[in-house]
Amino acid sequence: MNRRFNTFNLTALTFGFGFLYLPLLLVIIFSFNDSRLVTVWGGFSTKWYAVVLANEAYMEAAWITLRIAALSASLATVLGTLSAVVMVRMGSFPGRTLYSGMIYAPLVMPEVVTGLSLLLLFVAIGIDRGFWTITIAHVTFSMCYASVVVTSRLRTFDRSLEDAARDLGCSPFSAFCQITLPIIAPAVMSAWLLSFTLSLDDLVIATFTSGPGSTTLPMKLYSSVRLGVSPEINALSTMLIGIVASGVLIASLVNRRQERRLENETRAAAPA
Amino acid sequence: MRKVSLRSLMIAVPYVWLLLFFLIPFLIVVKISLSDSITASPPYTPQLTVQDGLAGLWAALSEFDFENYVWLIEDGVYLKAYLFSLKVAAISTLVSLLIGYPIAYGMAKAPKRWRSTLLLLLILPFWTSFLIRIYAWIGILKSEGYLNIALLKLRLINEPLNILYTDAAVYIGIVYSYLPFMILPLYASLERIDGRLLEAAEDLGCGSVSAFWQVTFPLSLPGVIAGSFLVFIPAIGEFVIPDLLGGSATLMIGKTLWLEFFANRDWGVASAVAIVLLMILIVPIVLFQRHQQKHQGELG
Amino acid sequence: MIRFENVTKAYGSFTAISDLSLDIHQGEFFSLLGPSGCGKSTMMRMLAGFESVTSGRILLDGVDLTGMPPNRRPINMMFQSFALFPHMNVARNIGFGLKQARWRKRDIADRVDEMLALVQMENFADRKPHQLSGGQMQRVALARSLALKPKVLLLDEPLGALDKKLREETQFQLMDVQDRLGLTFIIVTHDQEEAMTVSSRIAVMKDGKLLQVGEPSRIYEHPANAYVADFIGNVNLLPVRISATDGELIDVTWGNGRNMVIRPQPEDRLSAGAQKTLVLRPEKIHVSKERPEEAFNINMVEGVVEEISYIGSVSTFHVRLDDGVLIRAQEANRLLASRREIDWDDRVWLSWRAGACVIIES
Repeated sequence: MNRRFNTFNLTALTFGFGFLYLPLLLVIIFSFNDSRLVTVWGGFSTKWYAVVLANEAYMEAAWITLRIAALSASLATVLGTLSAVVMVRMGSFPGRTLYSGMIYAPLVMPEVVTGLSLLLLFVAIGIDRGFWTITIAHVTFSMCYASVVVTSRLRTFDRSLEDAARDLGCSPFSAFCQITLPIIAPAVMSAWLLSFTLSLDDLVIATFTSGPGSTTLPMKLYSSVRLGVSPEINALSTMLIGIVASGVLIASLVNRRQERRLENETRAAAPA
Repeated sequence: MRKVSLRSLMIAVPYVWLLLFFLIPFLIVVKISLSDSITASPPYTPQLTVQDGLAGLWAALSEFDFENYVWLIEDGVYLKAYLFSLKVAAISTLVSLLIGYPIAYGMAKAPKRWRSTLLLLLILPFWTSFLIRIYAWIGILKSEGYLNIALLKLRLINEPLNILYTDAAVYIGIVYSYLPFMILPLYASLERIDGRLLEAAEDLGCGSVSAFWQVTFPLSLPGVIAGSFLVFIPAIGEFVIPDLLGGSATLMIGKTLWLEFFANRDWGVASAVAIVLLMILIVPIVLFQRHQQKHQGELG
Repeated sequence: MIRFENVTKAYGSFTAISDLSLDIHQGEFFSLLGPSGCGKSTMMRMLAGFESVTSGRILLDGVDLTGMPPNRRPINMMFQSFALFPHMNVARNIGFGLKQARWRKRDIADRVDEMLALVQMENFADRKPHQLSGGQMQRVALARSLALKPKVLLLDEPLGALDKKLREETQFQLMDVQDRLGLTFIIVTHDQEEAMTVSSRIAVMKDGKLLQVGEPSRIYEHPANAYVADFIGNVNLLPVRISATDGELIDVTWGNGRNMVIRPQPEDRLSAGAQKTLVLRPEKIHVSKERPEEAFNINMVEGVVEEISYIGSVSTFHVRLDDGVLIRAQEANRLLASRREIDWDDRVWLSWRAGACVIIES
């Protein structure tokens, strides 16, 4: 598809991206509002940032959230990559249909159902809910996303590279570690990043699986938001947007460079 | 021998994890949905333990009944909530398609060097917190919010509009949140349409409008369908959006489940609601799965 | 040196290779030639160890390879599209197998230099594969697969990824390397020209069976059956009936009772009245406007030129004989095309010697 780009297209893009970005922009702008009245501009100020950073409850929640996100993303990436290898490479094994069902189901399962079912499990086996139960819950649904990301990369992976390594003396396991893993590393990285943000962002499942003393930032944010708009939340949101946006931007720039290189490499490796 | 055990270990680890934290919890939901409300309500003691063995299992099975499901049918609130969720999901999907198509079309026709940037811009809000995106709309839609201030200043209205805490706000929230899911597959299918096909159509006498409807649109249908499912399926079970933007009358099924569990503490009914929600979702999910398999490789 | 003993390979109900036996000798440049799906790649992958053998066995120097994983076999492979590791530079690619074999660092470096010199890539040691041209990648892949000093080198469609000009150059380079190292090379290809150029012997395969094994000239001039004759080069296949079998030259009838003299091979066991197929290569037929001089060992027929296809060095004439049989004949273009004497719809004479044709089973 490459035909003339006209005014209609430009208008659609302008309005479309305006619609996507205007709400966030307003939050960001009014986070610098001096006035407590959120919709009236009272001059520029960064005082709400100081208020947020001094709020220990927010900081505590943020710290817990980050720890859960980092831990669950790492575990989910390991399990997801393993699961992708199982899906793409292991051929058939008893219960494979059930397995692929269990990998895809959490992707379409409503969060409320996932949260409820995990809570009921934790109650049934009598685990105290808290940091670890949230982490387990996040690993469980993130690993499915991670698996999908790595699976799609692994499917396009040129098997003859692994064959070549084995021909040159590698065991299957060593061929996977030395050849396959480095080549699919960008996909594994994006799986981690995706798992990390999913965990960072999750409210519903965390609410079901958390216990006393393990309030995550989205949970904290949710209870504040229910009380209405406030400049503190604007400031907090702006910080979160800033952190995530810069993280994603950096990751995508790195990824884009890697992808371009990879594209060159694969194109060169298969000059058909 | 060692090779075989490594292979089974690699399969077993994620397999056992999913059995333990996906399948078993799900079975517990099924079980509780079939238990009496009294036994399931807190303090909940597990009726069934491994020690009970088969006899215990049978005893538990014989205690199961469909009381919770009967309750769902008898009390009109649940049926209304299911139907309302379906309606909201369907309308939101349609609106997302109508808004998303021109955007995806514009992206696909944009000069090549812009495209990856546009794609990044499209995905970026998706990475920022869901909650914050909904929160942003509260500030816009509330009666003294930015939208009303702007409209009043422009003298388009005399009195502030009441949008927040109505169904309209829920539609806006869902469309806003899930728009990227609609645009991505649309863009993917539009972008791969060979421009020469349109040239061929015009060469054979089509006007550009007619070429769009006869060539571009049919070829983008896989994207339309995929995008519609990607909006429709999560919208049905949505909780946060109706909770924060909708009014107390806006009872979508996800919110009903939440209230049943956290406010009424009726675990049996909450579980039954969850099971029925899943059964409603099965049809679109299976259709979506079929569609994806058929067009595998066509879409990213 | 390599022996396939009644090898069968089945995937479920599909039999890729059926009961195949084959010997390949030390120092040969051996080709497995056939259309895609004929089982030639399966043969190679079984030899390399990527596929197991369903029944039968493969021996290398008398050692049974069954059950030996690819990393233990003294056989290396050059992959189709080369399979160079994209995240390693040329030197690390070439040294990869040596590293797996736990060579010392210095020895690896020496061997890599030696291999780079062998393929004349000394200046590219630090390049990544994507910075190389197709021909350079092919040379690196060759060096990598030779670094471990394998007893046998397998080449899977080694030149398929290169363009025609480069392919010819590379063929000679391969032959040169093979000659210098005295290794056994086994090449899988569907390109009959390539097989003819490089190999000392060719095995023509179809549907998991060997149709013929032999030297290139033998396969071209004395194909075992019509399939081989047709697969290799252009050919006229004519149904004939043997009329008489005595003497060095014999008579056969073909077309509308036409007579032809041929010189049979000693191994052809012919009996009068037998129905056979005659293989007559187009380049062995002379096309002329004038009737050629009669001779006891010359066959000649008259027909009309229906089609001329000009491919530069030669032209192929499609000539329809009076009894409806179509014969293809080829003439080198000794004159400029503008001075060509024979044109469409001209009546011409076709003539060939009795020794120019071969009899095969129908």
